Amino acid sequence: MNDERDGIEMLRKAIDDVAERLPAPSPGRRASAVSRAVVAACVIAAAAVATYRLVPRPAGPATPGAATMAAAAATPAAPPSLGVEVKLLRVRGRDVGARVFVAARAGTVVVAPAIERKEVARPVGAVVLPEGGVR
Amino acid sequence: MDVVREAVVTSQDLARLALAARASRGAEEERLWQAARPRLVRIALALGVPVADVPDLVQDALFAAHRALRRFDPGAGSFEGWIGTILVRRARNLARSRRRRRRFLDALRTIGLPTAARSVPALDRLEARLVIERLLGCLSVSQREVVALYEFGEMDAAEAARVLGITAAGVRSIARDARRRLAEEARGPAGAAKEKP
Repeated sequence: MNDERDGIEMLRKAIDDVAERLPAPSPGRRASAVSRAVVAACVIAAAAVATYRLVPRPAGPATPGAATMAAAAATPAAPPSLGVEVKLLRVRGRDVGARVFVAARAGTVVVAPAIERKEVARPVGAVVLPEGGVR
Repeated sequence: MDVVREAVVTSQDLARLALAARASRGAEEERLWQAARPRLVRIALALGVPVADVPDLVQDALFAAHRALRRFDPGAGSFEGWIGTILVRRARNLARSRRRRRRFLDALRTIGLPTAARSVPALDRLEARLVIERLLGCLSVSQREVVALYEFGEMDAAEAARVLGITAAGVRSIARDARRRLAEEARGPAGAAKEKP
């Protein structure tokens, strides 16, 4: 029986030896003032961006080439020029800038969300309007 | 370097401290964690947790126990069993994450990125650490868990069985096999050969 415990006792001695030399846990590090300021600034910036995106804004002043969806429906005569930014799309209560393109189908124009790079702007998932702006 | 000082704390002391800490959450709780820590360190080492990870693992288990202390029910088992369960589960999670990390580091090495192994320099060349590695290397995972709780955690077979989800008879049987294998390993290759018919 004692022979059987030789291994356990050897292991116990080794574990005690290592346990006594283990470093004590370091106290948790507190964030510095700079870190806290950076985190606070990020939180405030994120809140500002979220507010800006969620709050509906009034439509801007009418320009010669621009028209709202309502205006387009009411006055079908003047179709917006190709490539001109219009405000026809309404997303989550906000008018979203859009551009007008020639559609693949003849006789229609496509209003696509405006994106930064005009040269690669594509009317993907856009509203399709007959030429003249009337649905 | 700070050294872990072990105070002799009995099972009854721990249970009493746990109840007091659950009620007051003040200095009693601090004393509870100080008293429980040395035993958890030994269990973690006996489980085969790498020496460099032991302080963090124990601290993590103590923090989890601190958050869950109100849920500790002395009627359902001992305090050692309760906190031992937390430690064993975290050790298993750590072993899993180490396997994933090893695969990730191997992948980094194959593309030539340098990787640094985590270690405690003062313990790297310690003979005791090598002895632990050699002895635990001859045990299976379940044998290590039983040895850690039954022999080093000073739990009885029923308590260790509850923590590991096996029967008390299973714990005793696994412990017997583990002791035999450890004894063979401790005697070295000659002893091990003599044991075999």
